[in-house]
Amino acid sequence: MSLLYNENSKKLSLPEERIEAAKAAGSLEALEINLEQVNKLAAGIIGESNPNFTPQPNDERSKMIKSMFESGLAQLKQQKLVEALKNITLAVELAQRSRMPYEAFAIQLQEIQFMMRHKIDLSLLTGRFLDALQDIEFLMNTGMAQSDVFIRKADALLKLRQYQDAAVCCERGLSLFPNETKLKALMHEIKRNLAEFNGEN
Amino acid sequence: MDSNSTFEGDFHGFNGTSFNGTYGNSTNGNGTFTGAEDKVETIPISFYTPVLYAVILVVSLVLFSRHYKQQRLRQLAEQPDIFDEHDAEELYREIKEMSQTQKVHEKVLKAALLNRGAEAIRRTLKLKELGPQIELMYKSGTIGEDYWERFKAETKVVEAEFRDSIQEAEALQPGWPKLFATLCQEICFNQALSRRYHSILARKEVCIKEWDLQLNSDGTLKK
Repeated sequence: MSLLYNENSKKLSLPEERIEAAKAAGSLEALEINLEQVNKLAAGIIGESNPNFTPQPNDERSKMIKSMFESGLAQLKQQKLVEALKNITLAVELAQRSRMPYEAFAIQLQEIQFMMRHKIDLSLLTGRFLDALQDIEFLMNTGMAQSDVFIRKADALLKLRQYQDAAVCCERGLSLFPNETKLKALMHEIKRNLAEFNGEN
Repeated sequence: MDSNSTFEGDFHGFNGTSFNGTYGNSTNGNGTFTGAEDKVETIPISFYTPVLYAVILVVSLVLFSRHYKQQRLRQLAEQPDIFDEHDAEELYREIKEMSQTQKVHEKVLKAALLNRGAEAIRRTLKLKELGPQIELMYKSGTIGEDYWERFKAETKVVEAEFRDSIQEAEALQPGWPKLFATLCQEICFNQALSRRYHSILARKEVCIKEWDLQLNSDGTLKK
């Protein structure tokens, strides 16, 4: 049998021999992603009582995510940055885990981008530059190309002492937003650091 | 009188031979050809001969076209796919097969079909995105005829795949296909979002390795 099915959990899994075969063929990752997608979809659909379910977002999940995110914002107001970051990270995780793939994409995208922007700011403020950089990459990969995203990315790269990449990011940002003063200031700072790194000063 | 009789004789001769059935006689009046005209024979042919000709022609054309089509299909089938795996489709077929021998929840099959439909949409979008560039490359000669054929065949395969998914949806739940297409589109985009989100951790590990970063347990940089 090429697939294993658990009647209680209604989940599919791969038998050992198939895992080995897929690993040998180099196709294990794609297969596992697909299986995970099917399991997640199945779990969501089984929970739906209406056979003609629509992409309407689930109100209960929306409330849970919103309350978690708002508790993070409340802690931010009290200057508890680390706690605020934890709660906002949890809200992002919750959105990714609990939302079903068939719920409206436009709402899911807007929601995650909004929370991610706060998470990035908090990561930068608390010195987690690598985390911030990865989240910025995520925003860029989802089509967000605003000047503040470029500013934050260049800043994170500068703090990680990746001056070449930071300069490239700044140039990209400046080509799209030539009048952005913060990007210009960052570019100066990056050039100064690069010169120092190269022993010119 | 002589001249008259000659004329009449000629005239008769002309009349007598020229309109007897062959065009060769149009040059009559010249005695040289009259002997050859006499040798022309009409061969009686059967009514079935032209029919047989037509049948042979049509059959040979049909055979040729069938052989040509088969050869083209074989060539297309032998070409490597642009997408290197078909996990979504294979998983659906496996689950469907499994449901005939084992009790599988109906919604698991539906989930696999939605995943298959979403994958077909993703591939359609990818091919549409690539289309103008590939056409440009083909026209400029950067890619050859075989890749162009592969691209066109893949586009048709992906369209057929989505149509097949819709037919399966109708078979699973009559009247579902309209909603099925909408759901597949949402699923396709959300899965893309999810894949991007899940790549964050893997990318972080790569950055740590490549940039030789020293991090504390809370993710801050070591001083």
